[in-house]
Amino acid sequence: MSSKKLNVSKSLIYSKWAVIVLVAVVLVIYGRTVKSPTLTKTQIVLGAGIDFDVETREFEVTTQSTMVASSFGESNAQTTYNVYSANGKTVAEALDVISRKIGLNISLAHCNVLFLSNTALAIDHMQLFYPLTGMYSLPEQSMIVACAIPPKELLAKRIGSTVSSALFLQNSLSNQEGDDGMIRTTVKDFLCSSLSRSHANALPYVEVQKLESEPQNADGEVKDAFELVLSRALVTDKEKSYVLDEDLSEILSIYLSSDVTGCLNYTSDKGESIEFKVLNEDVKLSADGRTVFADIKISVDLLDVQFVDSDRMLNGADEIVQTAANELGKILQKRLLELFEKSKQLDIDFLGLQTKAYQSVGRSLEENCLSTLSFVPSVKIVVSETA
Amino acid sequence: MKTHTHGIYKNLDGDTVFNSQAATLIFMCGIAFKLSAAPQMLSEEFGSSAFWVFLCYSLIDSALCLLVLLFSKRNGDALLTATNNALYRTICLVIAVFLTAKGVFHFCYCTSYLTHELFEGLEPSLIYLLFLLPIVYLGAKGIRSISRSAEILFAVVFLMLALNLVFLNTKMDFSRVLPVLSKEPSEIAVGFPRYGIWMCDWLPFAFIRIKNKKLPYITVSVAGTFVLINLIMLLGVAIYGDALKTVTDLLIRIAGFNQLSRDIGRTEWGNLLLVITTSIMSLAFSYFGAITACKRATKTSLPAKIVYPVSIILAIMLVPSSQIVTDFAVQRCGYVLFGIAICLPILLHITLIAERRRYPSVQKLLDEEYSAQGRKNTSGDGSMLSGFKQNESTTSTV
Repeated sequence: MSSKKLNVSKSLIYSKWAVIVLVAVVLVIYGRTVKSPTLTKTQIVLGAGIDFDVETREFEVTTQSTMVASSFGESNAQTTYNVYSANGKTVAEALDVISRKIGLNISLAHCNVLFLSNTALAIDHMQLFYPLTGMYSLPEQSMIVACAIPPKELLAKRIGSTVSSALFLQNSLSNQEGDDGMIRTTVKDFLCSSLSRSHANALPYVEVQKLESEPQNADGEVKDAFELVLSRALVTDKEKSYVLDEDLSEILSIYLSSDVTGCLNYTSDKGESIEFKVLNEDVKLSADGRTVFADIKISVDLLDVQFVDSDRMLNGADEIVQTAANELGKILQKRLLELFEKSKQLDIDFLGLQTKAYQSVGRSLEENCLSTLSFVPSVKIVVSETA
Repeated sequence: MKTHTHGIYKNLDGDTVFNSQAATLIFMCGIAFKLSAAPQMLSEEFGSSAFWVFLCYSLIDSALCLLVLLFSKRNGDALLTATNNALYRTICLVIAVFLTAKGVFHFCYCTSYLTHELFEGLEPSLIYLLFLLPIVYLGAKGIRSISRSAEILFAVVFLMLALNLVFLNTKMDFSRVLPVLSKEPSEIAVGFPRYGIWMCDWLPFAFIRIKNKKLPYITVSVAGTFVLINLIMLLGVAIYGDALKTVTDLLIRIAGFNQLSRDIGRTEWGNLLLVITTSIMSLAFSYFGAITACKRATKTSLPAKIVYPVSIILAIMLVPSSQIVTDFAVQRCGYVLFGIAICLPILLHITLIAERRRYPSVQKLLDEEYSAQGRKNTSGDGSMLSGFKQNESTTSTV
């Protein structure tokens, strides 16, 4: 019998233990030599705001982060919201300065709200968001909001219900825990609209009001509390922006957003007021050449009836309610046409009509052709108890 | 020859895998690189036509895959090696170089976005080392190790992908794939072949013998992979629209739009594991392909065993940024890669057809050797077949 030579390399390569030892050695080297940030050295940011000074050409970035502290043996944890601001030639530089102020690494991984000022909206959008979503892990599902006051001031305001303005907006926009039915524009949606043929966006416009009655707690009255009003929308392309009134913002949010909740009110000439709760909406946009059709079907439930001459409880099947729903549909349709005229007047295509027409006409459609397009909306409101 | 379940793998020749294992490899290679940076590059170049260009690419790639699998099914490698065909050896040399080049390009852009986009503050050389080790180890161990690993990991990868798609929750507009032609057809035609880097990842199957089980795993896998990658690309376009050009890795980013993320936090990590796993499998597979092709061409696999990893290391060390390598791969080099990817499977078949006509008896003997009935007649008895054996390792018996 001939003896076989030991093939060392072949033995080693087939040796599982050699491989396991090698992997362990590599991991040990990796673990001991590479610095990787731990969670305790990272500041979790709830909301961030970006402002841009046109004169100095500097960004002012503000972050609101949270710290939860409790003592051993106590069951009550105390949450503190810290607001820090810094300036920089770039957003990253400003965030770096904030990181040094806090003494921790900044992580936007759980930042669900981004406040942008009007001047920040005029910056190149791709360059603005690319480092945030890349290096700083800003979720693409974060909501973008515009504000009436600088983001720095807004983030510093104490909100009556949730204390933190970022938390309030996260609850109402991201988690949809309010019934406001406001437009929701995520970072992804913003970039999508901005880079499309329409080059325009619609954002919730946050206004701040002092609370009429200050909140009370066991220690007494809490001073300087504010409330955020989310009833209007800001429409913008890079060069200009405009704030729409409440009625137009309401129908715009139905047109643009999916699964918007909220209420719709119809008040007749006789003063009869009927409130409907939006259960579901189905918006179908189509284009035939340069004509864009919008078919909107809204399912609603009867919520409240006031000042109606009736001797019994009304329900969704009653003729009065059905008539009110039909009339409301006509009003919303008229408001959509008003929106279209407004968009042409401002030359801001926040309805996305150029994008729709481009899908129909093709590459021969010229840029900035909003004035050549037609818009035919149709709104139908169906009163039902379920969606 | 009877086989028992626990010993079934021992009865396979060195480069033989089951069709179920081949199917998992087809799936892994199909999604590994096509759904990372390709959608971004296509969107940047073609706009709304990106999906249709991707569809055409995947159609051509699936057709090439079927050609390669057909070559394997017809024992093409066995015949052409047994008859020592000179043209086949030349083609194998080209395959070895082609797979090495693809390996370098894929490795560089995979590690590029992992390093810069996902792992902040980490030394890039550590990422490269951690990637290179399993690739070289698996590739050198052979196809059976690669296919066994793919078979085990397939369940996890598929489950991750399925969960992400099922729980996807974001605003989508499928009409964003229109218009079909966002540019002049001539412009699209000129730009179309630049992305040959993603073609023919399944070429190493030409050197593998596939043992069929009862179910048609491979057919299902090719069709399923084709549908899946186009579905994900369609979802990418519907979700992002023209913003797809900002998405460096679609497969990871798409996991962020998960309705579970509200409860369990960021969910991109799931698809990150998926991307790393499939990338390593695919690169190991191409390394195996380069080694085997080199062995067919030069009778020794050592050059490819050394050149493949050394090329990667040199590319990383000498080129300032791995993004430069990626950009090079999708410029003029992309046309060359595209041309080679199209020609290679066709040339393999032409060579096989010509050789079958010259040596019909050899083909018949090979078919008998590899059929279930023919197996019991083959032995080390000095028959003419012993000179035509392609596998170095001997077949073990239960």
